[in-house]
Amino acid sequence: MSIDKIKNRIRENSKQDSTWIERAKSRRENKAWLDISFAIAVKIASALKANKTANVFPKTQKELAKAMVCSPQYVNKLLRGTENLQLETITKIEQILDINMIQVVDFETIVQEQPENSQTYTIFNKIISGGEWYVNYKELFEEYSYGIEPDIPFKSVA
Amino acid sequence: MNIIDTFAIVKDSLYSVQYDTEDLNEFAKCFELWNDPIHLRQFFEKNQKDLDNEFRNGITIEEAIHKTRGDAGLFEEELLCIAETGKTERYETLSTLFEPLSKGFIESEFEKDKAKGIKNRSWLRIYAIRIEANLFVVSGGAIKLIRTMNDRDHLLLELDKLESTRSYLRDGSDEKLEFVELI
Repeated sequence: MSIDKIKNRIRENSKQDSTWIERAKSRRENKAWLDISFAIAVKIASALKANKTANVFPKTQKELAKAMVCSPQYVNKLLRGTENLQLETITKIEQILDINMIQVVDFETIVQEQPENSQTYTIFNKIISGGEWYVNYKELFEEYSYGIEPDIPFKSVA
Repeated sequence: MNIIDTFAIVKDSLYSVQYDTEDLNEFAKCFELWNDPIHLRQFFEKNQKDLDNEFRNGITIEEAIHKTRGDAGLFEEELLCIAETGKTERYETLSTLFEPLSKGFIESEFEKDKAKGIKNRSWLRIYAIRIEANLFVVSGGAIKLIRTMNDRDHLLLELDKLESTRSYLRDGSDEKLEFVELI
């Protein structure tokens, strides 16, 4: 069979792949949290493996499901590294397996003061434009007043 | 194990076969498996002695899993990008990414080729039959931790798949592969 005939046959008879394109697109679009989910999955699996070696509970997916009070299918999903995990789930697993999986750098509340023309404030990582809702610090702090002094002091950053 | 279909990954340049034993075409399957931590752990545990050797500097299983996924991400981007540009750019085609399976072993037609992952000393491989400069048909892919393909079952399987894909393209039908895929 000539090369041209083969080329035509491939072009005419092949189906268009959709599975890979869609999954590759999803991997790209969700890369930021998928990276974390994947790293968590690897860490959980390593912890289970270490527990198995040391004969410590939980050492299997089934036992982890029991400890988490969820289905083994859900644990399997976690271990595939494609689950968008809640903080509650992550901390629960950390406690059960006695491991650290995520850390928040500089865990403190920060209020950022920007130059006059582009005033923005950050409260618990929420960026608020000064011009939109808040005209001055008084209003800003009143909105977020605790009633009592917060444990974590506000830090003003110029 | 028979080829049941061919799929256009990138129309007019990159195609892939699908076998009757699989749910996905070979190209899609590779990237699915290289992003699956459960599969990767099983694979590296089974082939741990190949990670422990001098060639791989005794990298841990956890490191190997992360390295594979990171490299797979770059690899799929690169393959796609070149497959697209190769349609219009004469000097940047899939041929710049694929090379003959054995060094210096250039065949006049239906050449058995491989493409390597992007990272330094990458162990990812995509295997394909070259039809022309920017037209390749993927037969499979593998994690290749050692120098040759003749000493590990999963790599021997890839050699058979290359042969089967070549027969399929040449004759319009593949030889029946009578073995079970091991990974």
